[in-house]
Amino acid sequence: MLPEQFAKQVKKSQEPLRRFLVALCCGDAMRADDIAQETLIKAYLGCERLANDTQFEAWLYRIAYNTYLNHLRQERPTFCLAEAAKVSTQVQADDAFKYQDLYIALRQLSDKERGSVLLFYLEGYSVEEIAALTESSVSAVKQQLSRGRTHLRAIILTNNDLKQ
Amino acid sequence: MTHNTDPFQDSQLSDLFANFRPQLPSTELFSERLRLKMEAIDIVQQKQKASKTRYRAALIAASVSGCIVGLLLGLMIPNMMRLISNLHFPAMILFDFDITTVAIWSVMVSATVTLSINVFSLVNSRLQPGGQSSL
Repeated sequence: MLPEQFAKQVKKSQEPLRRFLVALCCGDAMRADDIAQETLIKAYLGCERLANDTQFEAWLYRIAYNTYLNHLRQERPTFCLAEAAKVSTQVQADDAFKYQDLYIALRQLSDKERGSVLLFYLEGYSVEEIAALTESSVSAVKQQLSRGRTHLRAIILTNNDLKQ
Repeated sequence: MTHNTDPFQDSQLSDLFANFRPQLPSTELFSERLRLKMEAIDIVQQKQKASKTRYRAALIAASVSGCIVGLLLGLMIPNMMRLISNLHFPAMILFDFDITTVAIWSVMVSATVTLSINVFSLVNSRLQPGGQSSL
């Protein structure tokens, strides 16, 4: 892929990729943007090796997911969930906190579950595609999706009950 | 990307993510940051490419000059042997072996290596943009 084609593809895929990373980083938009920048730089450096343009998006998401995992390995931030929940209820009207419940719910999933759930429900990838993208087996992805969905539904239902 | 009908399809979760439109930090700033990084990468890549070419040219020049000097010195061995053996240094009696051959080969190797190294650094610095001789 030529650098000009790369720029065109990036323009198209940039926003969905950033949204995916925001969800993966549980609402930490600055961190998500740092990962997105790193992802796109890695992609730029390797774009000449990509022969098939139609695979660009899946390739980009694979880089993004691996970059996210590398970031996680490098730093394990401590996060007090109770405090985050308090913040979300206090400033719920603010647009920035619109998805706070979802972020809190996502944060309670394991990294792999969160990745699989987001690739499936947010990005619309199939189980097989997610398996290829995350370099896992199909059965592992199915398990992550099943657990992730159960956890997410339970958390969201509990949050809704608490609100009522 | 394929939207399929897997048993994992869950309308509640799908709806939840379908409406997921978080406010992203400025796209212009993001693109500008990315553009600057990509430009920096291009500059570094160009410099790396130029430096690789320069090194290759310097290496070829050093090898060629080393071979030529080595060959010339090699052709001069019989003459040098004759010259040194006519000198009759008193210290040469101390050695059991033929010190003349060792001395000649040492001179030859050090002259060739020194010349090659100097040619390498000379060509390398000359080929640098705005480069000056380091010698």
